[in-house]
Amino acid sequence: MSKSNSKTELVIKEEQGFEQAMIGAVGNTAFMQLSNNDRVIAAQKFGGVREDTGEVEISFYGMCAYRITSPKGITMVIDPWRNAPGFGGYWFLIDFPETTCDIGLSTHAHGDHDALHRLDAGMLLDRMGGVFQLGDVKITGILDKHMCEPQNDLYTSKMMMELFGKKTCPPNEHMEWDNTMFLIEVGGLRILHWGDNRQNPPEDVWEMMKDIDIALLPVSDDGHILTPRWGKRIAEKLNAKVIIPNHYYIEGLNLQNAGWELPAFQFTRMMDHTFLDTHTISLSPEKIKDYKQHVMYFGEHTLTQIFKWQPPTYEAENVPLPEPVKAWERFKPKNGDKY
Amino acid sequence: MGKTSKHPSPVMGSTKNAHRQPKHIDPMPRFVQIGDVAYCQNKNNTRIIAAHYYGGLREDIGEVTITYYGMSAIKITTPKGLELFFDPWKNPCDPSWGGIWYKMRMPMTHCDIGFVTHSHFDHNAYEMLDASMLFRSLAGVYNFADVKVTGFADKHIVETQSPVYTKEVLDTLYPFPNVDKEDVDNTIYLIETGGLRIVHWGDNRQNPPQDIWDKLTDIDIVILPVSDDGRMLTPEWADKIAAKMNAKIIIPTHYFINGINIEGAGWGKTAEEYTKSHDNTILDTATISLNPDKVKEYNNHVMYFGNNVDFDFVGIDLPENGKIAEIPEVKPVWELHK
Repeated sequence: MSKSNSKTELVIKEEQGFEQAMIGAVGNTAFMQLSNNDRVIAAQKFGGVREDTGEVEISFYGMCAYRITSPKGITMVIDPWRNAPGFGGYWFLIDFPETTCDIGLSTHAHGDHDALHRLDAGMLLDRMGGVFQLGDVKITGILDKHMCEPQNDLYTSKMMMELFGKKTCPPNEHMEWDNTMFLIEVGGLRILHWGDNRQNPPEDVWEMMKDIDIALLPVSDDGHILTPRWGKRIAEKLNAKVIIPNHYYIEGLNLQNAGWELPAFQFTRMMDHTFLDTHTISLSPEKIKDYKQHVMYFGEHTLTQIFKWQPPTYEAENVPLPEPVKAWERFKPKNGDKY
Repeated sequence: MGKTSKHPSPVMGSTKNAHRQPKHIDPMPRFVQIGDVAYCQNKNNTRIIAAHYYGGLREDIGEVTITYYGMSAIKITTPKGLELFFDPWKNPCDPSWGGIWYKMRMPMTHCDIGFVTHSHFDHNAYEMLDASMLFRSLAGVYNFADVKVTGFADKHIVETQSPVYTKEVLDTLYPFPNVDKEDVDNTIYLIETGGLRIVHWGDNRQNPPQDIWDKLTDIDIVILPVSDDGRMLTPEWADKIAAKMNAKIIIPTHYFINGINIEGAGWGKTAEEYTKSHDNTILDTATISLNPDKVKEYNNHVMYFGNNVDFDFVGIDLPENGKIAEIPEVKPVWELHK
């Protein structure tokens, strides 16, 4: 803003790393953001930021994180992840990429869903219940509770309570064991992001989630959140045309044995399916109208760059060694060998 | 007021004691906590689920309650009991970005929905809210229970046109790292509940574009950051804005409060002169209850909370509390090992 702007900015940037490490920004970190709200202003003025393309774009970041782009260009990122600062140990080998979007959403307050500070977002809607509208996007937040009994062999509710040291099942559970499902109505599609919701929400919650086109469900073969059996049952109840599994193990992104170790291959094979070979798909009502509980599996294809371990090729043998320079010789006494 | 009390640490959520007692995991507190801290919250979403099912949390009392929390922090309680909190404040996480403004922390406060107009530290302390949902810069239309909130994305004030706080002075005082970025954005909230149209101005510029003015017509209550020294809005600009909105009631915020704000840190004046130069009510509580019936007679009437906020000040006035303590006696502990 000021004349000496560039100079001040430089000085502060130099100090930033140190100060951040020392203090840390609790809560809102948007004052450090690089983008501003110009796109949001445009969306509220013109109802969008580009001409209607007629297609909704869904990109996968790993875990439960998706970017959904509306036909008129409004971008939403749902459930960015981080290694939880409080408890849970290390789940991720890499940081969630710093991502620019218009709307940032988080379903619940667990580390694998709440890294809103990694978003360079026009607005953040944290655990939103109720109805929100901007441009060609309508988001309904459906309030319910987190999964606490997944009904698999490993992750029982008893084990979870032991690990977290607190009550995980309602009533009187804490905020992090609540969950909001997002029903996103965009471009003629009804997309449901399940978050980590329990399998049996009450009947009037089901009423709100009828005739879903695309269900983003946290299904993995080991059933950390939804077992394949529950995934199928829920998809049928939602009458979902397309199911996109998430919350499964991805090599290079998730730490092994940190919370789960299996992808969702078996679940995908169990259903009518497509194995995708890209991290981004474009869908429209026309494209999916004939599907019925069809699984579209992103697998390891994520927008997040994953660095897998590669075996060495041993090319270094032929690299010439540097000369052993005797740098100390400039201090050599002029007379004799010793001072 | 004036009574001292201790508030729990903001870092680990809303309790004095950590509620997690992991048995097998390192129980050390973390030094760096970035971002969302809701995983530490002790309460759950039962209240908002109820509001969602029943359209509210109690029988309609026919009045909207407005409570002041210092700075621009306002809690609005809808007739059916849903609590919305706007713009909680804190000192910056890095003092080189604006200096220390407050003598105390805003206490951890319960609400159902937390709103932030923009990301300056005097508006964005949403980790101090024990909230079920948090919205930063919500632009668009939001409906829940008996409230409708419309957010208008616009820009922060840059030139206050006050004699002291010119653009140049502010730029020198507050060299935020990325000026002209997210930092200078702001969202105006229009809250419609209980038959009232309430505007929370945030720190918006005085001249938003016409399409925003078109939607801010016939406002009942406007919450404006106006003080006598014009730190955000000068009294002249506040008049113009209130007149343009045809506001019935003006609630000044963002002024100096003795006990919260540090003298000379950002401003030194209250909004008393501004209030007294208008048709006014000087309130002696931190809470008022209003409904369309009560406000219909008013026109640009100022309701001034003054120093009344809904929590106790934490006194650090040394001369007042100062009783010189004894130096503890030197115990010859070494004699144990004689």
